[in-house]
Amino acid sequence: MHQFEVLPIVPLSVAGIDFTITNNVMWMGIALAAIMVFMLGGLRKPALVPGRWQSMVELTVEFISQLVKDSAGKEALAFLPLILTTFLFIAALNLLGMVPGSFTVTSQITATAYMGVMVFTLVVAVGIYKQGLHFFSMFLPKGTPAFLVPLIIPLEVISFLARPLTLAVRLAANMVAGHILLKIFAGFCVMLLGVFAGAAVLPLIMLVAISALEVFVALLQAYIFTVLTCVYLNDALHGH
Amino acid sequence: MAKATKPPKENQAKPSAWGGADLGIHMMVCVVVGGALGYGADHLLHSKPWFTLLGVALGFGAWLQAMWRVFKAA
Repeated sequence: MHQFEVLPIVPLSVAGIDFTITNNVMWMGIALAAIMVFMLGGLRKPALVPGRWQSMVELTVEFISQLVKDSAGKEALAFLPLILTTFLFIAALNLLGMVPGSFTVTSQITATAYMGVMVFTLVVAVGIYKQGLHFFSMFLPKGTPAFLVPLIIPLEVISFLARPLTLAVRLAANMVAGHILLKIFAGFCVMLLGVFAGAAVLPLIMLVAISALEVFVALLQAYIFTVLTCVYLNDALHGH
Repeated sequence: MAKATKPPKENQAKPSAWGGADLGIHMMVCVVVGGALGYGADHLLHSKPWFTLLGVALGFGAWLQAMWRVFKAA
């Protein structure tokens, strides 16, 4: 569909490598700018008694830091900047996707897959740094009967390798599904207008309701991605 | 190499119920990952289609195991 197409805006090639600015790249830039405006704007005149904007920023940071503490332990607070950035970036991309005429970067599996792979790489690196080769003992849960070992290890390896893909597919699938749903109901509206205009109100009501739902889903998916990052980090930091 | 140290009680993370958020997509992904690993093995060993079939079966098994883990934690 038209709204999921990646189109070049500024063709650019440096030393034979394709650096074309696509609408994908452009909306990522807009998301980054939006996050900077949100964060810097809120802390422009920091006050002891925060105003509305400053409390929004403080609430967001405190919410994520509480989440990191709860689901990955105090040690994981070292990763708070990364996790907060992940949350804000995904939330900004998802919410910007709800602006009519915009482009949803998170509906592209390539965009979500690189985030998933980065989280996966981080978890493996932190796990090996913290626990050494003991990290790979997570492939053999404690108390496995000896005759099940040849079966359990491949299962655990597959489960482990599935993590980055699960993160990527969930986010992209939710975004694509939401936008297609909106498009379908908008289509019902237009079709009913040609038949019996009064009845077109019904899908319109649904459309409004689903739009609200999609805003919620946009934030929820960012939250789930963040929580799962914390859960995986917890495995890497503390073992099983 | 840093040895894994057990964190003190208050540092330990609370168990999370969010593992269950995965299950639907996890099934598809596990089967695809298992199948892909099997396909790679087949490609190297010229044994089509046996490792692919084994990989898909193991992927499904991995999903069942993940589901069991969520079930047990709940």
